[in-house]
Amino acid sequence: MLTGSAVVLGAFAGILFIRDTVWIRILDNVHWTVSYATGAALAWMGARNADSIEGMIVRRWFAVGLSCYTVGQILWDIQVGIGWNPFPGPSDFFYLLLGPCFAVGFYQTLRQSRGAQIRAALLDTAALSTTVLAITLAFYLPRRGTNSPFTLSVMALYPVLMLSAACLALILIPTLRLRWSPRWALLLGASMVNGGLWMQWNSLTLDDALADGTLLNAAFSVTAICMGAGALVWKAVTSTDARYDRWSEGWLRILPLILVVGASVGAALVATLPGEKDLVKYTTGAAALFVVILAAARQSMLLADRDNLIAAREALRETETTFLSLFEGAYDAVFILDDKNYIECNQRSEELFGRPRHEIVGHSPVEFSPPLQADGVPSTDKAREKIANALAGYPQRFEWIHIRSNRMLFNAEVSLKRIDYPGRPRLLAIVRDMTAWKRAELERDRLISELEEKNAELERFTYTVSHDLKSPLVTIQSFAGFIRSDLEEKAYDKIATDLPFIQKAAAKMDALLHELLELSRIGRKVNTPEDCELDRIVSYAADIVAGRVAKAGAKVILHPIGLTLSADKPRLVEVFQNLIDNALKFMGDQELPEVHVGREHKNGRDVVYVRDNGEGIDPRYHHKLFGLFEKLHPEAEGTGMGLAIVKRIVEIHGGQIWFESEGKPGLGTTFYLHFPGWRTN
Amino acid sequence: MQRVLLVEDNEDHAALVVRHFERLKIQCILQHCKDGQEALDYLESVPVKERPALILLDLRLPKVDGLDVLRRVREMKVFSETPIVVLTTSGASGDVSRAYQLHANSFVTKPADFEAFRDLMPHLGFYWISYNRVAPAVT
Repeated sequence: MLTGSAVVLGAFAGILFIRDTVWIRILDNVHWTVSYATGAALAWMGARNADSIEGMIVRRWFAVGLSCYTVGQILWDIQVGIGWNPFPGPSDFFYLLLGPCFAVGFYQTLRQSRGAQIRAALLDTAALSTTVLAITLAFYLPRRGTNSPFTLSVMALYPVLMLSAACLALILIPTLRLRWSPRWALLLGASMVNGGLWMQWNSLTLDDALADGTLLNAAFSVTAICMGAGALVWKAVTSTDARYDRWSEGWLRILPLILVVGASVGAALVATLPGEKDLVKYTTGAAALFVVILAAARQSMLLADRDNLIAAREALRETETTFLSLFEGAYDAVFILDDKNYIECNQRSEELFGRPRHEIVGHSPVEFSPPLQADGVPSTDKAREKIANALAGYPQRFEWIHIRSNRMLFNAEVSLKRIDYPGRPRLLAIVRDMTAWKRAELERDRLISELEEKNAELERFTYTVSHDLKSPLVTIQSFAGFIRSDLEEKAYDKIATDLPFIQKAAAKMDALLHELLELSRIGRKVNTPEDCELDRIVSYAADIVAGRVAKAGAKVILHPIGLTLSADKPRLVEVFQNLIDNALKFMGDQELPEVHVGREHKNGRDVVYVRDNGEGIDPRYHHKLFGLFEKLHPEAEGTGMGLAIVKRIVEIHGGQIWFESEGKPGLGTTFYLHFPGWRTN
Repeated sequence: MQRVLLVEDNEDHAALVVRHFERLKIQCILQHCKDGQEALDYLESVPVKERPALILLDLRLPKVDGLDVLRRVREMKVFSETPIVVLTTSGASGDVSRAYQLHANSFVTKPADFEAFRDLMPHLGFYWISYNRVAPAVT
């Protein structure tokens, strides 16, 4: 670039000092050729150094334009050298490509804008170009002399193409909100000056007043280098400033108006000026009309744009209503936070925190939290950490203890997520009250363990029942088989011994089924509770077992109890009947069997006892006593369900039953009963 | 004559076993214990000469459960290799497998399996069992 500029400057200097026309002409061509080539080289450098693909495409178009321009100049040099000078010649074709190439480059820049704006910018450019065309024609037509319309058109194309490209660049300024920068201004300025120079040059051509070594000639070279430099640094530097945005939009809106006014005034002036030729008047008139049409199209586009804007605003309002109702109607508390405080909250937040909105907004979540969280970390530290993580782009979800206005703590589940508003990140916080959930969780755990316990109990029950119900069946089956072989062997005497086994087993089975049914009825079929005086219940039970008492030669001694319980009366009788009966069964070798029933104070509460002086229960077997079908003495009568039934009846009434026994003969066993619901008579 | 220990709480079932032994013509002295504790006490105190050569053990017993008896018998050095056949009513697979884990030798499901029991005898090493017409003596 420096070499090129130096050569050009040398040529300028030469022109200043040399007076020979031929040399001056040669020097003119030298500085033109060198400067154009320099410009093209600069533009290609720019294309190579572009920082984006889009930038490279744009700069490449500029480089192509300047390269064509250089080719045109070289062809011109050759034409001058061989003295063949037609118009339009080969060189003119290449010269003329500069404007369109630049226009394509600017258009590529424009494409970063949205559709409607691009169309508006193209219409504006067309209107401006028409104006340029009209001015050019108005300028050239009066001097056309003997030139054919074709020659004149080509001459007009030089400034019109170049200036049209410049107009497009000009329109870029408001459309793309270009911020002032030499990076785009240099190319724009140079293009405009270049267009102006061509206007002047061709005007001089028409007047046949072209000269060698003029300042005009030198200016071509300067603008070429400037265009090259402009292409080298080209970049659409935009601004997001709101005021500048409004200012640009204003200009875009007023531009068609200015054009219409300008075109009308111009056409009117030309029409009223005396001496103007009709052709000029018609041309300017037609151009003005065209500008008016373009402006009208542009204006109707603006209207359509406005309609779109209104529709968009409607849609926006609808979405806003939707989201507002979502926000306010949410069952969770929803907040917007900056890096410290709540800046927005919904209705549910007020309910959850028990405070009006203005006491929440502008305050930090920490203010509504206890000093420490469940894990012992200070709320301040934990909140700061969670907010920082969420702002860094990692959504957070965690449990948190909040505090209501009434000082009540509650468990919450918080999720934090960053929302990217342009330029100012915010956090969306959703806070869910987990109190009910926590309670439900505890309840669920309790139910599960209860169910598991019940299931295990049921399993044990099924196992026991299936085993013990099968026992008599085994006997029946086997002895029936024996009897069959007895018959086959005609051993009739054996039948007499085998048959009773079957009868006994059937009776046992019957008893078992009966008691099992009884057991299942307890708690399922309940008699209406009535007030039972325990003294009367016990004496009634003792009467029922009186027969066995007499048979055992035992004594049942009843001590005053003085308690009343609201209970299923027949069942309660059953309890004492069973306990007394049980005591009588296991008297062992006791010569003076006695059963005492009474009340005493044990471990701070009232208990009723049933005490015997029998053989007692070996502590090794204590755990089996209340089990279903458990019989510590296989030979003892009964099914082994008596105490299981007693325990079940007591538990159905909310009471407790237990026993104490050292397992030593004579010291016997004491059963204790306690019911929380009983009262003193 | 060899001795067999029967541990069975149900009198009827004990009689049943005796009858089966009769029919199968198994000649032996049958010692009967009515619960788990009695069986353990008996085994702990039995003189060397009277030690049973086979134990028939019901699983559901008063006082000390059949599986507990099994475990504790196996812990007694002198009976660690005595064949034990488990008697079960339900044939509950859980019981049988637990009994095997405690080193029971075989099992008999009442009442169907007594024929099978006879076939089992030689496998347990009871070649001493003579199949004659003499009824077993019960003590």
